[in-house]
Parts: sequence; C-alpha cells; structure tokens
Amino acid sequence: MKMIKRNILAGLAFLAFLGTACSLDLEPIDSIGDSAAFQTIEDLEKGVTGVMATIGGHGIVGQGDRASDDLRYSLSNTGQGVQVHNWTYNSSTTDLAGTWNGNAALVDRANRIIAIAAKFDQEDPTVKRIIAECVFLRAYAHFEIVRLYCPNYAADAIGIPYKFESAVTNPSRLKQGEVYRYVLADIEASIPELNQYADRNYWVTKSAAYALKARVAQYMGDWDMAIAAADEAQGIGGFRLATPAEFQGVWDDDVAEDVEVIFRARRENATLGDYYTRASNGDIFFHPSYDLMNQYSADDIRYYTYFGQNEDGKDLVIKHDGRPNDKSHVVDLKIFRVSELLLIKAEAYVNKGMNAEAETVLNTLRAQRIVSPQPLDLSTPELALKAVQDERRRELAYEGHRFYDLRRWNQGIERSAEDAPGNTLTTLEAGDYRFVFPIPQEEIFANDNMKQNAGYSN
Amino acid sequence: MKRIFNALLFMFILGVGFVNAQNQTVTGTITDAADGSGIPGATIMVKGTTVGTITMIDGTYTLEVPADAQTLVYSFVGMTTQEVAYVGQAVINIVLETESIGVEEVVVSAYGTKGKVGLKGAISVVEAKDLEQMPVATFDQMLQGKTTGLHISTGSGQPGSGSTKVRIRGSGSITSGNEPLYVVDGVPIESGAFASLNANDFETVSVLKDASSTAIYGSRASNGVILITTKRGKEGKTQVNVRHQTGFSVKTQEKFDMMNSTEKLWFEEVAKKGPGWELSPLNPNYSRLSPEARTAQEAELARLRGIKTNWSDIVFRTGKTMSNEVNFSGGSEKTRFYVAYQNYYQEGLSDRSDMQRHAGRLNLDHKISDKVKFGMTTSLGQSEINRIESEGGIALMNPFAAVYLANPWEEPYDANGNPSPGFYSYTNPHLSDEDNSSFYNPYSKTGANMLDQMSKSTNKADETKFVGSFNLTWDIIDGLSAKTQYGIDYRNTVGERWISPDAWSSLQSGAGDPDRQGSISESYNRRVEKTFTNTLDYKKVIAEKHLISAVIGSEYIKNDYFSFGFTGYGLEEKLPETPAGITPGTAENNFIPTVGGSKSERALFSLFSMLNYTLNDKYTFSGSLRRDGSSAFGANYQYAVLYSAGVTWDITRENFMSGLSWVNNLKFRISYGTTGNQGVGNYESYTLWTNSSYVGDPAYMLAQTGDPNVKWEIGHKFNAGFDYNLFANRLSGSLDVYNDITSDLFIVQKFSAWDGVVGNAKRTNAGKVRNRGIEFLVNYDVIRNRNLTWTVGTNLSYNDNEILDLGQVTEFEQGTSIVREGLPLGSHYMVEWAGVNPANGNALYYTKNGEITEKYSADDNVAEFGTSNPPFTGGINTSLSYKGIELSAQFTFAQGFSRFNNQTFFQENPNFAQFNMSTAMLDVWQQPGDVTEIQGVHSQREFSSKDIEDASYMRFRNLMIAYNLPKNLLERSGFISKVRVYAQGQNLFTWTNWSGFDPEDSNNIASYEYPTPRVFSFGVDVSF
Repeated sequence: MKMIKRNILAGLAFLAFLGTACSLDLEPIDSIGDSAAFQTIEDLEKGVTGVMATIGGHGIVGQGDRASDDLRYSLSNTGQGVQVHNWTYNSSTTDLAGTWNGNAALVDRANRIIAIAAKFDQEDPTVKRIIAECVFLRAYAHFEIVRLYCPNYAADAIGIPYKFESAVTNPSRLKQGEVYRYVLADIEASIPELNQYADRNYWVTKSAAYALKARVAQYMGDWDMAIAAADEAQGIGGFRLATPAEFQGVWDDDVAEDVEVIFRARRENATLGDYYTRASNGDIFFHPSYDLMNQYSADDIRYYTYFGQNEDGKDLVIKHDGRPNDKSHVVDLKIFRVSELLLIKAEAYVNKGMNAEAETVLNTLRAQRIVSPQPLDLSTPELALKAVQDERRRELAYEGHRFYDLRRWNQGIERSAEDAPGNTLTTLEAGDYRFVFPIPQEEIFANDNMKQNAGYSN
Repeated sequence: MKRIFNALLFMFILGVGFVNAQNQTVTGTITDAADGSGIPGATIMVKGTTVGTITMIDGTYTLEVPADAQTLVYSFVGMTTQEVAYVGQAVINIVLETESIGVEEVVVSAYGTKGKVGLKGAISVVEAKDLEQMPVATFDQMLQGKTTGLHISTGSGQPGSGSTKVRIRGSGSITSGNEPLYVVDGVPIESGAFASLNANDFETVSVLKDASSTAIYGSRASNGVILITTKRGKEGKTQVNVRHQTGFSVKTQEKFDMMNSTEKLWFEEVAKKGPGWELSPLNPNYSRLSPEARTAQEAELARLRGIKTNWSDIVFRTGKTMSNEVNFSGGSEKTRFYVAYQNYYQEGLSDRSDMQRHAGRLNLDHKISDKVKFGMTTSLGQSEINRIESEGGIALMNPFAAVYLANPWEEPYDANGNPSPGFYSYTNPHLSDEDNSSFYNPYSKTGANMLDQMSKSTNKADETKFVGSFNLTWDIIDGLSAKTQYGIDYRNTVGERWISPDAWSSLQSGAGDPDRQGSISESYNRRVEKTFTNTLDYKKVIAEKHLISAVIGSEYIKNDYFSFGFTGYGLEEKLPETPAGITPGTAENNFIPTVGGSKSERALFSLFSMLNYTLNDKYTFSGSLRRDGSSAFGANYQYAVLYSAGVTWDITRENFMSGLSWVNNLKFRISYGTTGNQGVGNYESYTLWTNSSYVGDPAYMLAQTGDPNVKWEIGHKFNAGFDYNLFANRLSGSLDVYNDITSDLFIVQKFSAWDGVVGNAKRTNAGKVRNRGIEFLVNYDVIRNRNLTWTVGTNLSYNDNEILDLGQVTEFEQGTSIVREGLPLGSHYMVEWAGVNPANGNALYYTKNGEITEKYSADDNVAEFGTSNPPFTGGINTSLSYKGIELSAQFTFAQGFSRFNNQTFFQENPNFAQFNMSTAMLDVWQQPGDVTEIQGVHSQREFSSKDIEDASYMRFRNLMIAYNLPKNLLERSGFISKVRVYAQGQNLFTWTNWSGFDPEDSNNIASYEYPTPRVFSFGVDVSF
C-alpha cells in the first residue's frame, strides 16, 4: 500500500511538473501585436504609410463609368458590370459596396493612427504632420462616400456618418450640412501642418488638401470657395499642366512628379483597366461609347491617349492599360490633377457669370491638349455651361467624375442605339433615384441606425 | 478472435499434417440446448488434424477417428464450441448452447484503458473487413453508409481528394468546423489529409458519438471522435498476405442535355449574341451586305452548323486503378510485428488527374520484462496527386465546366491534332476590314482554350506523411500501470504549378506582365503535431463484485505550421516543370519572382481523469473530467473544463431476464456531459498589424481586430440507448436517441463598415444550436448454416438540426443561405421564383409578402426552400455467402435536403450565350403569349428559388462478388492458405430527382465539381 501511494504521488508530481513546463503563451509569429507595433515615431510613420496604402478608389472610377454614357456594352461581356450598366442595381449589388466599405475603413485606419499619435509628444513636428495627414485622409474618405451615396448638396439633405474615432458605434447618417462642415473643418485643420513638396505627389501635401477643398466647394456650389481653393492648390505648389508631349507619360506613370498629378495612389497589383478589358486574356467588357469618342476633334491628343483598338479592330479604353513593360492594367490612380482644378474654376466662373475668365481657363487647358484648338463659343450662359461640361467630360473621362457630374448637373443619360447593343438599356432620366447608389445591404443589416437611400427597397 | 487465430494456426498445420495409425468410428447427434432439435451442418473435427465432418439434416454424424486422436471439437456458428476428450468412445452426443458471450462487447480503448473498463457509450465500430480493398483512395470516403450517426459526402471525384465532408450527428458549429477528431493509435492526426494513409492497415474504426465516449477528448471532441487502431502482429507463425487489385473508372450519366450546333446557333440569334446572331439574316447589319457577302455569311453559318463536336467524348476518359500490397505479421511471445507495404494508383475521369501512393507500416510490440513493454507504430506514406485546372470552380479552365460550356460548333483541334486555342472570329471576304470589325465579334474558344491549358500546365501536390508513436508501459504493481507515449503526425506537401511559356494563357499576357513567358510556383508547407501523453491506470476488483478503475493523465500537444513558396517567371521552354527554367528577374524584364511564407504554432495542455465503477458486472457508472488550456483561447478564458457522467445497465444479467433465452444481450446506456470545439484561430484573440510597404516605404497595416474573449464552443450532449442481440444473436444492433446542444457557438457578428472591424465581421461566442435525433442499427442473419449465410443490415439516422440562439441578432446571411433562429443550418435563402410573365417574358418573383413582382430584390429573400444538410441518412447492406462465394451489396441514401444548382445559373442564362446552353433554354420566351419557365433574353437572370432542387438520393454504392478457393484445393500446394478473387462495382446507380451532375457533394452549391466516378475493379488476395 505504501508503495502504491508513493507511486501515485510520484505520478502526480510528474504531471504537475509537466503542467508548469508547457507554456501556452504563444505570440503571433507573422504579425505584430497591438502593443508591440507602435513604440517609436518611426513606427508611427509606418502606421500613417499604412493608412495611405489603404486608399482605394477604383470602384469610384469603374462603377461610375459603367453607369455613365461613356461606355458601350461589349458582346464578349459575361455579366461583368451589367447590372450597373443597365441601372438594375440594388442594395445587394456587391459591385457597388466597395467604395462604401473601403472608404469607411480608410476613415477608421486614419482615426486609429490619430489615437495612437496622441500618445506621442504633441509638439514634435513629425507627430503633428502625421496627425495632419490622417485628418486630411479622414476628410477625403468621407467625401468620396458622399460623392457616391448622397444626393446633390443641400444643407438638410441626407448625408453620411462622420467618425472622429475608431470605435463600435453603429453610426447614423447626419445631414449634409454637418458632413460638409466636418469635411471642411478637417481640411482646414490639416493644412497648416501638412508638408508641401511638388516632387512627391504620392504623399499628402497642402496642394492636395486645397484640391479636395475645391472639389468639396464645387459639390456645394460655393463657387467663390472653389476658385479660392483651386488657386491655392495651384499657387502654393508648383504643380503644372502636362504639355502635349508629356500627356501620354501621365498615363504611363512616366512624368516628373510635379507634372499634372497633385495626388495619386500607388498601385502595384490592382488592375484599374480591368473594368473595361480583362488583362489576362483581352476579353472586352466595355468599349468606349461612340458618344464619347465623337466628342473629340481629330487633333485632340486625349483621343489617342484614352482610346485604342485591339488587333481585331475593336475599340478599347486604354487610359488605364498600365505602365509600359509592366503588368497590364496596373497603373497609379490619379486622385487630383491640375486640369481638374482648372475645370472647377471654369465651372465656378460660368456659374458666377464670369464667362471671359472661364474662357481663359478653358483655353489654358485646351492649348495643352489640342493641336489647333478652335475658339469656344461662350456667348450665352447655356453655351458657356455646355462648353465647360463638355470639356470636363473630355478631359476627365474614366477618372470617376462623369456619372456624379451628371447628377450634380441634373442631367439624364440617353444612350444611342449603337451605344446600346444587345439588350442594353438606354435611358436614365435626370433626377432618377439611381443616380445615388444604394447603401450596401450588409451595412443595413449590421447597423440598425443606417437609413437606405430613397428609391431602394431596403 | 482467438478462434480465428486458432483456425489460422490450424490451417498452417494442415499443410504438413498426415494421417497414420488405425481409425475408429464415432457416431452421435448434436442438438440445440434451447429446443432439443438436431443441428444440421455443425462441424466435428479431430483437434490438431484435418480430419472432420459435418452433421446431417437431423443433426447426426459419423466420423472416422484416428487412434491417436485426443480431442474432438464440436462447433457451430453462433454456438459455444465444445471440446470432448477422446478416449475411444463409440457414441458421443453433444448439446450445444447458444453462445451467450458471443456478443463480444465492443470495447474501445483510450488513454490506456483496457478490457471492460474501456470507453462506454454510443460507439459504432466499423471492422477492417468492411473497409479493405475498396477502390477508393481515402479512408473517409470508405465509411460512407457504414454506420449510424455518421454522414459522409464526397466533394470531388479527384483521386485522393481531401474535400470529403464527414459529420457525426449533424453540424454543431457554424464557423468553427464540424470535422471530427481523428486519433490513430492514440495519436491525433490532421483531418482531411488521408491520401497518404493505407486503410487496409486499419484494424477497427470506432465512431464515438456521445459525451460518455468523447468527453475524455475535451475541447476537441464536440464533433465526435473517430478512433482508428491499426493491425498488430499476433503470436505464431509469420503470415504473409499478397494482394492485387486492378480496375477502371468511368463517368456517370448527367441528367441534363446541352444544345447541339443547330440549336445553339438558333439560340444565339434569339439572344442577339454570338455568331448565330452576327451571321443571321435577322441582324440589322444584314441589310447592308452585298449579295456575295450574304452568301459568304450564310456559308459560314452552314459550316458552323455542320461542326458537331462532342465535348464529353473529348474531356472524359476511362481511368485505370491499380493496387498492389504485401503484408507480413507474426511474432513470438516477446515480440510481435506487422509490416505492410502498398502501392496504389488511380486515374481520374479526365486527363491530368491521378494519384499514386506508396505507403509502408511497421508496428512492433516487445516485452522487455514481465513488467515493462514498449510498442511502436510507424506509418510512412507518400502520395503524388495530379490535379485538373480549377477543380470544382466555376471557371472556363475547369474541364468539367468547359465540357458543358464549350460550344458544339467549336472545333477542338487544328489540322495537326493540337488544341487550337484563341478566338473564333469570322472575316467576310466581301467586306472591308472596318466593316468586318464592326459586324463580327471574336468569341473565346472555351473548349480549345481549356484543352490547351490542360496540356500546357500542371498542378501537382506531393505529400509525405508520417504518423508514428512510441510508448512504454510499466506495470508497477498488480492493477497499477503507467504509460508514456510520444506521438507525431508529420505532413509536408510540396505543390507545383507550372504554366508553359507557349500556353495560350501565357501568350495572352501583356508585354510587361511577368507571366508572359509562363510561370512556375513551388510551395512547401509542413504541419507537425506532437503529442506527449502520460497516464496512470489503476484497476481493482473488490470482493469479486466491485470493479473500480481510474485513469489520470496529462497531455501536451504542440502544433507547428510552416509554409513558403515562390513564383518564378520567364521560363525557358526547354526546361519544363522545373524552377531551373526561371529567368532571374530585373526591374527591366519584370520577371522578379514573388516569394512568401508563414509560420504559426499552437499548444494545448490538458489534465484529465476517468473513473469507472462496475457492480456485479451489471451496473457501470463512468465519469470523466478534463481541463484543457489552449494558446488560442483569449486571455480572458484560457482553460476549458469539461466533464461527463454515464450509467450502463446490463439488463440481461438481471434475474428476471433469465427466462428469456431469446434475449442474448440487452444493455441500456445513458450519459450526459460536455465537450468542446476548439475552432478558434491560433491568434484570433489578438489585434494584429502586418508589415507591408507603400511606394517603397515600410508600412504597418491593420490585419485583424481581435477579441480577448474568444473561447471554445461547448457541446452539451445527452444520449440514451440500447444495444441488443436477440434470437441466438441472429438479430443485433442498437438504438440511440440523443440531444446535443452547442452553446457559446461562434457567430460571425457583422459590423457597420464605419466601426473599423477588419472585414466588417468578427466571431463571438454567442449562439446556440441543437442537434437531436434517433439512430437505429440492425443486422439480421436471415440464413445461417455451414454452407449458406445471408445477412441483411441497415443503419438509419435522423438528425434534427435547429439554431436556437444567435446572440445579438436573430439571423444573418451566409452566401445563398441564411443562419436564422428556428431554422436548421444550411437553410437556403433566396427570392422565390414565380415563373415568367407570358405577356412580356419578364421573370416574376414573389415579394416576401407573397405578391408577384417583376422587380428582383434581395430584400425579398425567403427561407422556404429547406436545408442543404440531409436530416435522414443511412445505408442498407446485405451479404450472401455460399460455400466459398460471397456476394455483398451496399446502398446509401440521404433524404430531405436541397441544394443550389449554380450550374443552371450559367447554362440557363442568356448573359452567357457565348457559351453553350442547356436544352432547357430552347423554351425561352420569345413573343407575348409564350407560356414557359424560361424568361426572355432581355430579362436579367437572377439567383432565385428556381435554382434550388431537391437533392435526395439513394445510391447503389457497392456490389462485390468474391470467391474463396476451396481449402482442399489449397492444401495440395502446401503453402498457400487462402486465395480470394473478387470483382466489385462502386457507385453503380443513383436514384434522384436532382438535375445537376451529382446530388452528393460536400457543400450546398453545385458548381461544376469533379464528378464522382463509377469504378469497376477486380482483385485477388493470397495468404501464405
């Protein structure tokens, strides 16, 4: 009996020994834990770079184009973007959820770094700059969502949530007046601490902040603010229009960083050009519409930069077909360009009845795009507005403006028969509810406070 | 078992036995103790010789007995064998009794428990003979329909596929996995990775279902446990088995038809897409053509109509199967061994799809002394699997998709017999280039592109798997023993994916794309799980009626995973399928290889104990307790404590049963307990950042928003059941009812996109799901005598699954399914199809309020189309054996479930009119008044209940006929003890209403999966 006891005790002791010897604290190997990640200002710098890397924006371009009158359905399309092209989308159309989710995530990532930066020395200029960059990106991301998911500006029209911190809150939609106020406040707050360099357009500059402000003002119809901000963006920076010789290089990511592009997002793998043509096998989903191609004169360099043909003679959108000798369709996303600033100014002048000033601005742009530009006719307010709108369509095609501009201008879409092959639908009336995209169903399900846009069933 | 062993021993001796001396005659009658009637066909043998006879119809016998005979052996199936000392009697009458202990209690051992004190509870055992030599590469598929409470569905017909779904008593988890725990000889092994294991080495496969049997496995056991023991050597002469099997696989018949060329070209005209439309006189361009151009165009249309490519003949093939195996077993009193080697080869239904396995095993047991012994189990397997392109994917490179989607008017090969990839594009000689390009579009050649890709690429997996254990047992004193075991489950898989530089897909890449000259990816991943188990086992019988046994132990399991891989580009054509063909990358050539890899680890430390108390062999109380600490559990919940308690009552031993001689065995079991499901990601509780870069600068990006509260799911299991053997053991089986509730169920909680949760979703332990059901197992020996036995068996399981609670929400969507309180898991969630409006051809749907609408909205999804998990499952088997001939058949079925047929969404969708269409589309709506189920081509095709179909099926799974050569024939050879030849057919017929390819699948959606083949095979087993 004694022996049994001894053996059992020995056994128990052995088990107890094992219990202490086996550690269950296994830290992640391939990722960095929250506490370990941000210890120095260099870490914080990596954090804000990570926020920059979160910038999306392809959906704003691709989905807007598909819904607009700038594309023509291709018979080799196997369903890609057909719902968007025919305006049969609803809240469960996943194609349209990307911009909402992506930019809301960008807001959150910016807010996380702002919160982490608060633990560092607030007088340190690097910390200040990093916070400013995050505040700018927060404003930018909110406004991208506004452009797609909100009706035209009115102070008491329905807006979107505005988040100042990373937390689970199930936010509800504010009025647009508030949202625009917060966007502008964030822009203003960021400008003093932002850097300014004309040679690093991948990074946030004061010019980028002013460019965003000009765009926001344009959507608000605050034309004075738009002109002032556009002037600041250009005046401060030293960014300039691309010359005709440089223009193709802008789309090949092959020009100096002070040329044309004020702010851009680096792309290493994402294929913007795949919204139009599949890079892997050349299947065409959408051709450029005849309507758009007919907008250009024969000596307009943009025609040759934006459109091409494949070996079968089919028209292609080649604006985003990639950097030469690099992966097909992988090209940087141009977020703000000098020409957009000019077009914002021109639109502002026309709306203020200053047609001569508008003409000067437009001619500045046209001189760099057309070999022998014909004089414009801005003799009536209607003609002036049309001149601005047409030039804007020509210049900024396939950059995520057309569909949202049509809504802003309260215009509809009427595709011609040749631009509507097969069973493509042709007409979207001005003011149709579908000019505002539906809030994704996942959001509605997850967030009880979220209201769907008018016209959609949930 | 002992009897079989004796018989084997006996047969060895037969070879050298001879008869001498004078004979005497013995006569007598053998009668049944139960009713005194004579037993026909009973055997009488002189022990130690081949001399013997059988009884006549009235039970009488006459036997010539050698003078030196010492013992006579009287036996009959199902009755107790009797031995009578022979001292020259002339008449020996024998009364045989029904074998009361014939029901050998199924005793499953875990953690050192032995004999009567093994695991109790709802356990089904599948014996080795039911698994041997099935022409199936992985053992999980062999278990189909074998027993109750176990439902297995094959996800792919690819030989060696790991996508088989195994469920014990339904699905108790939504997101943490429902795979059971697999334990081989005490070593837990990876689920779904069985391609390198040879199931012919398995002795028994036990399926553990209730708390009593599984709770000792703690937080890994809530999906049930499959315990496997492998064969071990037995004392005696070395036995050699040689086995050979060969066979072939063919495709089964699909239940839908695709269009022929004429039909398809007509449909293209209707859909206004494809050459059938572009070449049609109805096309608006036709009016602009000259008469010559029209003639040319009509000739082209006629040419296309004349091409009648049968893609099925091109894609499907007859696959070969072959298996060769040899094993040796035997041993002495001190040392026993089992050594086996197998070479298995199986081809799939398509080119570039096969599997080859080499598997070896050595099991060794040795007694160092009376007190100390060691055992070793090792199995080393290597398998090479070749896979098709895009297996199971809705992808044009998947041959089982392209076979249906390729147009019948498409020519597969060029004049030289090579695949002619690219585009079909018509050029009218009478039109300008400009008109040609505006009138005619190019169309991808679906079939030829696939054939090109299949012949110019590879997708291989080369797996090495080692499962081994070493254990040492020390019998410290009588009743107390200690055991230590170290086990390892090691797997590494080398994957290779090569695309030739001259593949059409490579040539399609742009001038700057890295894969423009082919690519080769090599991947390596290694999973090692080490298990260190120590147990103390104590047994004691007190006063001959109290049996007490207890086990305490500890277990440490460490799992390490490591992977890396690279993709290289710019391949040299003369160096195919090797990384040596890679061109070093530079910024200029853009051939820079991509590399990646990961590491992860996980640890589990457990303390456990089991206690059994048996009174008078009649009542057994058993209990277990286990505490699991896992590195994966959140910091706030590091330890899971799980337990079970159960009672077993052997009713047959009660006095009041003594009069019921027809009841050979009747046991009642009842148990309750908790088990866990550890399906927590290794680092799920952490908020994580990954190292990345942007414009060349280093960046930290948020990768995961963790939750320190994540923990195990808890399975609360109740079970009550009977085991029975009746009527001289001719009728046997079990009946179980169970009620399993999984609480703390992982729910994917959705978050607003604004709330900063990565992926807008995170798992939380919040829900509850219940599985309750009835299992009925019965085997009946219809005829049982010396020459003829006929057995019929069936196993029926009914499982009722219901989601009881989802925490903060009452439902959430999961793809085309909904997880909703009150519904079973796998419930389809769709807009209900309401037909086609005859007036305008638009599709009609029901709103959720039941009104008919033309407006499709996912908001009108309803969950009224059943579930993809079958509630009724089971199998029926029968076997007939007459003298040396055996005939057996097995049927399996699954009833009461439906699946989403995603194939019809493609085959019946004018958006995809450039691909071939199902003949169902011939009924497309064309003009007002057409009454049809196929909407007009202008009406957007949406997911709806139209695509959900009843997938219930009954399958004739296996038919086998075998012949064992008569023993007296073999005796002459002197060394061959057994020869068995057989032929079998697998997956012979399926009764179903499902219109897709195969109703059986591992998931809820049919998406051009690799079809399960029909296999015929022939084999021979020889024992020496």
